[in-house]
Amino acid sequence: MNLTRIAVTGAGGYIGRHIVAQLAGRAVSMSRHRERTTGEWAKFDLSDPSPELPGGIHAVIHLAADIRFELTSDQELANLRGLIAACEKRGARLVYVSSQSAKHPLGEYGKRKAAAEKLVLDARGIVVRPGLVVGGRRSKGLAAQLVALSRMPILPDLGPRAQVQPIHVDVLSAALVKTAEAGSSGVIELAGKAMTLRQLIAQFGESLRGGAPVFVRMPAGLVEYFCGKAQRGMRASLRQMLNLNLIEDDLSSMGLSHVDLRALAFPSSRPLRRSLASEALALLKQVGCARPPIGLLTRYVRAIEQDDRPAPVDRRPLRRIGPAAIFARRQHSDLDELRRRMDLAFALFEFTPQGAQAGMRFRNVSWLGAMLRLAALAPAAVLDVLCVASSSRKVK
Amino acid sequence: MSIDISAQVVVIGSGPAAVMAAKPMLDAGLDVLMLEAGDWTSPDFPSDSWTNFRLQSKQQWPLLGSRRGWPSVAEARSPKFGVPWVHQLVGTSGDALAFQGRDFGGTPLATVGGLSAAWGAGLGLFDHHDLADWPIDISDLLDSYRAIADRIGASGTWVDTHAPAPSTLKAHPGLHPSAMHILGRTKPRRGFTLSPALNAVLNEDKEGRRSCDQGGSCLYGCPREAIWSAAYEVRALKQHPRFRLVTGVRADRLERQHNGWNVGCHDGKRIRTRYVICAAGAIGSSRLVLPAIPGAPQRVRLLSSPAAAFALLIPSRLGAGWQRRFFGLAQLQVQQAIGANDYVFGNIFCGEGVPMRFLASMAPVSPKLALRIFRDLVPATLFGNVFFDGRHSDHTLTVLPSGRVEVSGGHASTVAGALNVAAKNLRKNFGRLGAILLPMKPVLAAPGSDLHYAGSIPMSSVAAPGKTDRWGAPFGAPDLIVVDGSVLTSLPPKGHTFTIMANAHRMASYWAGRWALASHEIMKSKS
Repeated sequence: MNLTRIAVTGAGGYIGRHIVAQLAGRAVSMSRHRERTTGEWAKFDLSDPSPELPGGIHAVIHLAADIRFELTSDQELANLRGLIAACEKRGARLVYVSSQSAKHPLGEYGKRKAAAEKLVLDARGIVVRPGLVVGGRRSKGLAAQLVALSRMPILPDLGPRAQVQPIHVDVLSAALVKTAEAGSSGVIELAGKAMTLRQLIAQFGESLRGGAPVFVRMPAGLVEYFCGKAQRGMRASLRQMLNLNLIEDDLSSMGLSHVDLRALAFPSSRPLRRSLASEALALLKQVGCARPPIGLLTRYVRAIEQDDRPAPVDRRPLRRIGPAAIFARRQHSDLDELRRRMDLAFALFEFTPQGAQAGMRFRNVSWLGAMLRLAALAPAAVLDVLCVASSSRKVK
Repeated sequence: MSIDISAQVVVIGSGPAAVMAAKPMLDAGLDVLMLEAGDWTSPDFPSDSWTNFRLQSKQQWPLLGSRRGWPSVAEARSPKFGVPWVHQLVGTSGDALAFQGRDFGGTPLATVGGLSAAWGAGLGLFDHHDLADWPIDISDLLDSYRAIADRIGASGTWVDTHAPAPSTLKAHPGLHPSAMHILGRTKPRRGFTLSPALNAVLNEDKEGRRSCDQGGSCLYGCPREAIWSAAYEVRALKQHPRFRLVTGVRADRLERQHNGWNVGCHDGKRIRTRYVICAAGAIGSSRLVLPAIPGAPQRVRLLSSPAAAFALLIPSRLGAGWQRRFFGLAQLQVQQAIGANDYVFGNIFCGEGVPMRFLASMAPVSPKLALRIFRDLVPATLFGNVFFDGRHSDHTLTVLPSGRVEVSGGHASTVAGALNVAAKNLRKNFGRLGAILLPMKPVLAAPGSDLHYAGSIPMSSVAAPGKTDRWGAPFGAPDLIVVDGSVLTSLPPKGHTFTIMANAHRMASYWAGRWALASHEIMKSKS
């Protein structure tokens, strides 16, 4: 019988509870106040300048994280240093649960995780990077919402072509316990086979109710109109899905990665350039250029890199309020930068032979023929106009 | 105090007013030094026809310039300002000229040729109604109008009841089928005039410049130099032995000296001159002149023409294909009464030469869809802008103690009503010609973004500091004249560049003889 005692921070959380259950009496929950935890508890204040581990601890699984950004980055790192010092003092092994986003740190979350990983590895600790954690009764956040959505008979197919690498919470907890018992310093990636969100929802549907939802393509603007301001329930989940798209920072903080093979083919190893290239792909598609040549991507990236502080732009509003509403917007708002970048993508595409051809027709056609061609575009135009109208009502 | 250069006459600026004022000075035998803050700029435009270039060249991106300094396309409402390099020039000049706008998109242009580097080449003829408040009469301008039209080469319709067109006037270089369609149906109608636009464009070769061949790159520039620019005049003036041009030097101060002025420049240089002709544009000239006049206010009104863009869809032309060759500047000019004593004036363009991104930004659909819609609509659509009288603006120009100049304010409250009436009247009148006016609710361009502003140091019959007399001389500041848009007493809706040029020519012709005589007498007394 293994008698290793393992301390867990964040034991009251989604993963923490599973680990405590798995350890069956060998776990010591550590927190500032006793709350929501079962089994043995020890007081441990991360913000204490020199905290002490309780006696007889062989390893610490560090799950607690400031996901609401209540602490500054420096404070959070200082807390971690305190924990590392406490572990070194007792010779306890430290298992730090990081995130996939630390791989290509772009956003605040990813940067914090990357800095924290470095501290842990320097102190010969272990870093674990889980994918999207699913399963269990109390799954939270994105996974729970995907489960809720999987119960629907019909769902809008909204993209995103984002990919997830799901891992079951039981598998993750078991792996973390094993690592804590006998791991050696390094980075461990705990992520399953990559699949799209749509595939994952379908899997949930099949395993939970024996059938996957039917996916129907429809414009995001309409879905958003339907969702309104719902705070909970299916409509809120759908809205969350709408907001989920495309921004690498956010995706990676949830264990997602946006995979576009052409962006990966972009000849640069710099993460900023790669993410700008995938931005270029997305925006060029919005302006009618489905297959941009690599030169066009390069041109876009270079143009953005001339900015004082080049950074990817938040593209989520493209799905939230639609490209029409953004491009037609006159008022100043936080969407200006996105509009400017669409404008840039449009201008760059327009000034290629391909773009010029897309916009010109020299052949005369009959009046009726022209009317039919326009009539065929009418439904899409009406949808766009509705999106513009509904967004200008919402954003004054 | 060191004097780095001296000259008999310093002309500040190299735009349309500057070149029109410089010529009479040289003719009268005076030495002229022209100061330009910017440098020679010329857009890279194709020598092939625009359409062929667009369909074939893989080297089109240089036309876009650098992204730095692009104002957003949605802030510009004139097709001309859908052109990126114009954007860029506008976007980078303000800082170079110590200018800041608050909610004002206009800016002086730091380039040889000044505003004519970016203009649509439309020539607006003022009439006696337009000059109602001015201390001059239309007959004072007519000779200058005609002389300048001869000199720069003009084509189109001379809509003027006061005097016949100059004999050198040529026909419009190329009307688009859609323009001909509505023009062919036009009947005389009270308060509504539609005619082929009068442009400073050659329809016959002239002095090294070649006539328009409908190449279509007009909004970007003309490889044949058919579109007049003050830069061509500067080039010609440079051949004159008594003319000097200094570029890249910004005049910052005018200091009154005994018998003349010192011009202080941004690089610390001082230029000693007997006479100063200020032609730096309404903003640039105000910045120099207001501090130099004893007792003049440093906060003055700036007139600015509100503008709105519209499109005319001609349903019966649907199905027509794009024109491969076309004239890309104003096809037609329209004047529409909007009240007993008020009207709007507009220019109408064909869509072939207008950047698609500009068109797309006007449609409430996604850019991708706009591209497909306009592909079919452009040959059956005309695009226009209308300008309102400057009285519908409420802008203040302030010369700050730091020497910078700031423009703030916005449209006057009267403009919303004027816009509604204009849209209603135009919709009705174009409807009769088989064209649908779009959009249903026209929106005003950002104030100043169409560069129609003037009147900060207006000509006045009443002597007061901050005004000039009918010859452009500010009251209280001798040996100095202001010849650009600053001195316009009012700002009618018509394009005002032609009038600024005519007025500069008129004023400079008046002073040239007097100054030459005075200089001659000084020389005589010295000897």
